[in-house]
Amino acid sequence: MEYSLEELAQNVQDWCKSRGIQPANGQVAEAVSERTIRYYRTLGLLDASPGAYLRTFTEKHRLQIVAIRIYQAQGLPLRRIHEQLYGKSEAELLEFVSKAGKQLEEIDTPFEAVATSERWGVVPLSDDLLIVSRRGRSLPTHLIRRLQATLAEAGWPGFETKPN
Amino acid sequence: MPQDQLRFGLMPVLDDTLELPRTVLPLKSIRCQFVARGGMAEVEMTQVYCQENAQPLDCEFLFPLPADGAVYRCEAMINGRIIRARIEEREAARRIIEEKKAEGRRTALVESERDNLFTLSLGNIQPQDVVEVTMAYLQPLRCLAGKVSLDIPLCPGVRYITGNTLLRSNRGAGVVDDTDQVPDASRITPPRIDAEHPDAAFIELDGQVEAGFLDGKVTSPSHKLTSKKNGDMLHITLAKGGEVPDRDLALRWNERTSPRTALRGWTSLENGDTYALLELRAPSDMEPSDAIAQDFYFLVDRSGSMQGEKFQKAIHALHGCILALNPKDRAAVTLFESTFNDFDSEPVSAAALMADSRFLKLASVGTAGGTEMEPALRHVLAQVERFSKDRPAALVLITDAEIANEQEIRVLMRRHPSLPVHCFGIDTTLNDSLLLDLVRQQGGTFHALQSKEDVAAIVTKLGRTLRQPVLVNLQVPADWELAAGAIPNLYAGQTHFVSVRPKGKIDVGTIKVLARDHQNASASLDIKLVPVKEAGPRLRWCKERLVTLMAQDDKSAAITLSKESNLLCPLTAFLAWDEQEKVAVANRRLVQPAMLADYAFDLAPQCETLPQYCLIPPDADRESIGEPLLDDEIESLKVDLASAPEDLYRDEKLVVQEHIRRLLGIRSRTPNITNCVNPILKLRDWVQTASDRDSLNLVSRLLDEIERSLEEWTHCEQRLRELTSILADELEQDASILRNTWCQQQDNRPRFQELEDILMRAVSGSLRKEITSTIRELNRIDVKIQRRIEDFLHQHANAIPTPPPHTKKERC
Repeated sequence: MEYSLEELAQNVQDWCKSRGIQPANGQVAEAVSERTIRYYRTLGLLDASPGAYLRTFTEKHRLQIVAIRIYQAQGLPLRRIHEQLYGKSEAELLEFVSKAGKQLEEIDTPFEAVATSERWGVVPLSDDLLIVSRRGRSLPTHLIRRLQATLAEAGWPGFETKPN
Repeated sequence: MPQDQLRFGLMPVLDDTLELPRTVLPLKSIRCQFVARGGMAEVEMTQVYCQENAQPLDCEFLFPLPADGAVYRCEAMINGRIIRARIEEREAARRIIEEKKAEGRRTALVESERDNLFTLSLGNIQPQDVVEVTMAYLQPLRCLAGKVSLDIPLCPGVRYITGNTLLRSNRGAGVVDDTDQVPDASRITPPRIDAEHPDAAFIELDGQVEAGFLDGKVTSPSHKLTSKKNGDMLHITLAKGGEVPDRDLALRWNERTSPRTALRGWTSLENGDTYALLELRAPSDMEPSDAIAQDFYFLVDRSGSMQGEKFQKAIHALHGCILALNPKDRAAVTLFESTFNDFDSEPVSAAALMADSRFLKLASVGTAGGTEMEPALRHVLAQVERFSKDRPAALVLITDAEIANEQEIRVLMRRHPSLPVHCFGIDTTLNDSLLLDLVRQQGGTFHALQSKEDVAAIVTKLGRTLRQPVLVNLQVPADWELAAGAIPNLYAGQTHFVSVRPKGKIDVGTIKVLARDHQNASASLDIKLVPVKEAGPRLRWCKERLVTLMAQDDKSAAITLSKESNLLCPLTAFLAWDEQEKVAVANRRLVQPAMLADYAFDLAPQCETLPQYCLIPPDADRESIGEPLLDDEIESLKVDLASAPEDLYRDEKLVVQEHIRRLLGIRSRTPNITNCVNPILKLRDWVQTASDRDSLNLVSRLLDEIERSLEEWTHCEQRLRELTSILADELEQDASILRNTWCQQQDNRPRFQELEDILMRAVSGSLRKEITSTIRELNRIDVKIQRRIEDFLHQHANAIPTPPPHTKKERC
């Protein structure tokens, strides 16, 4: 299947909408536009298209953009996404997108999309783990200790169970 | 799930099983070995590839070499076997390589995209293969303001692509489509990675500089080096490991110089033919020649790629050159980007330029737009025709030359053969190809500078050389043949290498070069020629002849010479294949990304130090001036009618104070307006002591005005938020910084500056303009509010009378 730039943007947009995929942290545009696709190309996130006009984008390009949106929904910046996707074959991309789509369909709990006006508060639990409050709330100390103890019991690295 | 309830996935929505194995980039390191002596550097650049992916790959990599380097050897070491590459005509080489690849041979092909840009294509590289590709070249050392310089390119610069996109298929796999002006744009615009990429290749350096003529240390404006003397040579290495090829390696050192022109010559014999290389080294300083008044046309690049330090240095260079001019000389300055602007309508004296304060503040013009050199150059050439018909003129070009339509510029300049061009190239990844060609074609001087060098000091010195010709009209005897068309004039501080060969069987022990000196007197230079075993003289002769043939468009002769001399040119290619072993044919092609040039990513360290998300700072860190007031603080400003002091205008004052409280509330909801809180609080204090109705009325009107300004601010800020969202894709990492910066900093102006810096790096076009103008508007409103209040307080400072006596009584 071949797509024009406009068709490609619309196709990806529809795919993401039907599966409720939206970028995680409000850092990226909510919609995939033609401009976005051009930008991805300049970053080398998309394979070079064979030409500039007509229907020059292929199924691989579509899969690449869908994969980018999936990673963005997980909060990965483009730099990391570039590392993950660079050099991937169409078959590998298809497998990734299919699996991710399936997992997304199995998730029931919707979250409210992040607004750019949110001010996040972060409570560090360890060097490794943070809890993010989207409304800037903090946690009382006793609750932090309980969480740390629970993680220690679960054997999470970086938390040690203190002897009673 | 309802469609309007979109999921959001910062949480681990997808599990680890979905993680794709990363494609490992094969280029592991670039090893650079060089020996610099006798005015030349012999350089070997080795790219080391290790294929760690599970499937066979074809791999492509765009890499730079110096434009004046004679690439004479290419060899590939594949799993320990060394295969020497040979030269073939380019299309034939491609065909052969395709055939060999289809047969299952490992292949290597090196093609020249520009004089200083090459593509290596490796074919059928198997998992766990180790391939080393070595390119050897001979490069003349350059003289820079009395210093010797060696620049070894390691990173292809980002070139500005002009023209309209072509409808045909792209020729390469780059990130920009081919255009009518740059039909191979997709071949010279590789994808890029930054130094943080896990597969970023490293550089290794192992160099030697002849110590005999050294005067002082070898320094580098680009890298930290260590040096150790070892016999006659100074051994140079990088001071620290982990350097990536994101900028050119620049070395500078002083050599002991003579107050007179130094002349040396060497000959080499190859297949019965003698080739000679002459070195003409002018003294570094001479009395400037004031005899002839000249016009200098300065064309200065202010395109986006010159942003920051580069443009500042370019303007320093311009000022330095102007200061070095003769009082009788005239200068015209034109700045160019997508469009161009003249500083004045005609050439004026250096003194007139320096007397204009706008000229001294030229750096504040800033950078923008694309590198559209051709229309600006066309305009300047028309100016030369118009104003300098009867005076000698010269063009001075100050640029990073990051353009891709070099050929158009060359053709344009060819129509003005008598106009010398002096070039100052300022960049960490300079496109020296165009500048060297212009200097070669037009005569003039070329100076490559790194943006971290003390450009002002160097250029002021170099600027003097523009009117310090030491030898002009240089000519060799009729029985010797020059490799290039003519010997350019020799200016103070310059070193020329001239390649010649005898036309027949003559004595090659000496050569007599004729010239005119700086006082226009005839000079005859006898140069003794020393026979050497090295191939340097032959290689330089062939390289210069190849360049001349290419300029003359004599393709057939160029291909023949390229094959005979085994020197690469744009019409030929190096090719090699491994006959020892047949392997699986690769069906995947990987483009090895180039590194982001360090100027494009100098924000990176700042990015790392800033938190990724916008955090609310703890109360203890909150400063009363810069931070928004909390609701309870605003509440505390509420005037309690019962406890309000009784005076004549108590009711009016209560109304005004309530108005102020409301304004502070608005301001608190727009936390980014930071500089007007203190003035508003001062105004509130002033109101407490006000004692006449007129003043209170004035304050009321002022508060209405401030309220309107705050509404305007809120509207602008809302617009900025919208624009930021639109931009977010482009900014990615920077978007979080932008919001973070927005919320945390205490003072508007540095914050706005920082935002603008981020924007300038990250985006382009109309969106950037709109954001920049919105930020400026916000700044303007903030400053306006402050000034209005401060002016008011200043004007009414003396109008605060002590409360009149008997206030209560009068009130009664």
